[in-house]
Amino acid sequence: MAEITLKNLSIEFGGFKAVDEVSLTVKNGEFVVYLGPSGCGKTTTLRCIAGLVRATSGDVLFDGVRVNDLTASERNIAMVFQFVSLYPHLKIKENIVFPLKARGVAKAEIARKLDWVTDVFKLGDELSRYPGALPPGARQKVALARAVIRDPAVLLLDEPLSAIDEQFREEMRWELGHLQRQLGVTTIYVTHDQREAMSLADRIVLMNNGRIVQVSEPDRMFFDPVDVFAGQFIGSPSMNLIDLAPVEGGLRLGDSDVTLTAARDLLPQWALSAGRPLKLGVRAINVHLTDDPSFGVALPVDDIFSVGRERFFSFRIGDTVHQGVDKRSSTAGSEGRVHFDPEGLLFFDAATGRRVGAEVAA
Amino acid sequence: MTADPMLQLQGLRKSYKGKAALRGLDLTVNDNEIFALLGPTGAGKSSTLLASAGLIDLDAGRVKLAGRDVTDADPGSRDVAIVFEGFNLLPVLDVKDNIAFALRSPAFRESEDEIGKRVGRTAELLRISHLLDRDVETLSGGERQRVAIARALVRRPIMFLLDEPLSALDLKLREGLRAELRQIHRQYSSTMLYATHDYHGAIAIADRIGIIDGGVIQQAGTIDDIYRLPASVLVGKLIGSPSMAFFQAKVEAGHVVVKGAEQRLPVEGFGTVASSQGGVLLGVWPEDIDVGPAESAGASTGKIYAVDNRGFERAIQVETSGGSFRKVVPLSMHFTQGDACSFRIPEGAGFLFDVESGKRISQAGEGGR
Repeated sequence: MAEITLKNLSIEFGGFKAVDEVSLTVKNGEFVVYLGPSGCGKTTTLRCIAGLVRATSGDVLFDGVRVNDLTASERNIAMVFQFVSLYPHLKIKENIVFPLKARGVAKAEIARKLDWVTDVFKLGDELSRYPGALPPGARQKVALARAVIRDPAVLLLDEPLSAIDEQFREEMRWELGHLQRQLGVTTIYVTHDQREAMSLADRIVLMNNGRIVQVSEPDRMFFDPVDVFAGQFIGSPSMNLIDLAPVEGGLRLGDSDVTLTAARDLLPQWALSAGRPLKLGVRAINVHLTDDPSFGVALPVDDIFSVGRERFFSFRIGDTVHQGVDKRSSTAGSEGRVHFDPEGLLFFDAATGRRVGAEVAA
Repeated sequence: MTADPMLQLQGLRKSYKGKAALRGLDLTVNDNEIFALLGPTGAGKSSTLLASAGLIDLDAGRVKLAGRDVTDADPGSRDVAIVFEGFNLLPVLDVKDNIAFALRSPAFRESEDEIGKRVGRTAELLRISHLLDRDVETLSGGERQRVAIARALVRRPIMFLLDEPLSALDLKLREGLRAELRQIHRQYSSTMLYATHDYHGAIAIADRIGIIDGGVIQQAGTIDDIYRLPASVLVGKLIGSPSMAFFQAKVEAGHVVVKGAEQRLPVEGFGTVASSQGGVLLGVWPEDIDVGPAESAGASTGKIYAVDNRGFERAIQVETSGGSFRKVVPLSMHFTQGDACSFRIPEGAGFLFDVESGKRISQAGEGGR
């Protein structure tokens, strides 16, 4: 395995910049997830690391060595795609050792490697079966075993779970996270599913329009988004976004006549004095109902509903519906007041979308 | 409100080429209720919906809609709308004509003026007014789904049958559309039967849930009912996030002894238990299991198999000698893969299940929370 470095990487297709000046180092053994909407450049970046797409400018380095001019097969990468392609006429065992046999690895070495993956992947009965006899999740596991058996410099995974039924997907996600840490192989994973990214990654690389928006550990990605895009892309339900206007004695919410008074102190002076419109980002878990009249603000509450053991509620500011989570101990009904946790308030510049008033991850 | 339930299915049986899809299925959906049919692929969800709509011939059983026996009535006369995962939009028509399609059928014979008004109102509700003149081919998945729902909604059926309507969409879109379906439900007081294999989808939208497997309803009720007294191992595995934890155990001298665990749980805590000796499965909702750092007094030891970050919380999978379980823990608990941890099952938490049949054999009064 290796450390993978991208240096000012740009990739253009006939004038269209699919990847725009991306720089990043993936550490040895790290699990990095490229996350973003379709067309953001994440798959193109992965394919460039694999040697399937040429960089227009910038460099790709494996352990400090420039590999731009090496072909995919010369780079010692292993790639697993959305759709598994196992050889249907070969038993699972033969499928797994195929890459070693193709390279003329000695028999004893093949046997040793096979024992190792059999142990890590907990394969037993499956070894002597044919791919057609296995469920899709198990086939994906075999594809992974085949990919790692020859000690690749980096394991590249392109939406490997997206073709699997939802009910198996969660199982596979747990298994994949476990296996990657057992194997310790440098892994770069591409997905549009923020839940998958949060779940699996040591670090998430969030991309949009060919550029890196934010690189953070999952927790920081959630609590410290650098801009509105990051805040809204991560988390479920989506972060509430509310127009905010600095007024005398507080911050007015949308076109309501409700102002947050204490919140004004959370903002730096320049942001207030500039008189620029702001947006307030607040996640549902940081908005609660209270029946204490001295607490929270009066906003119309539309609906209170349970999801499993959690109680959600929706409230309106103007025409926009927002969501909050009612604390389990709460007895407040729809006449309740809406309370925003001060530590959950994120401020953004309405014009640029950038976060205001906090030290944020780059 | 009518006194009769909106939909009653009684003893439905249906086989396809000798393979049974429905094996005596009973189900009642009340008027103005969102009922989620939750089960794995092949459980019989689609057959249940098709039977309700009259789109398959049943081998046995009765279908009643609003008290009227419609078992032998043709689909057109049932006044229900079915929305499939595949959207089934007509590619040759634009969005407007797709939505208006049913209103122009001989059964409705609305004036074009009225049709235009209703299409406009429905499009506004589903926020697709700007798409009305587009070809359906040019729409995204989420837009197509909204058009399909609009087409069903526009003719104001007495009931909606929704077959995995959102599963082809990505997470963000799905959440948005779930909220919209609830909104529609509130505005139109409509009855919906919503089939899904996604637990989150089911609980986010439904008033009541029916767990379906093997062509029969395993259990029906509110999510609280099911939490309080799950009928079987299968129900436990399909409910919860993460789902129920199961441990191999045995009943021995008035106690439930969990394999490989330090604990002996008094059997009285589980209420009346059908079999007083021998092997059982102990099922516990993960929320009820206490997990802490390794070597806590009076607790058993497990090992962290994997960690799942979720932003404001994280989930862990713990391996024990009696079985593995998953549980959500606060961010302040810093477990990493391979760490040892301790776990404890509080007395009175959990349910006992028969190893063979998977049916619950304890009558816990205090087993759930």
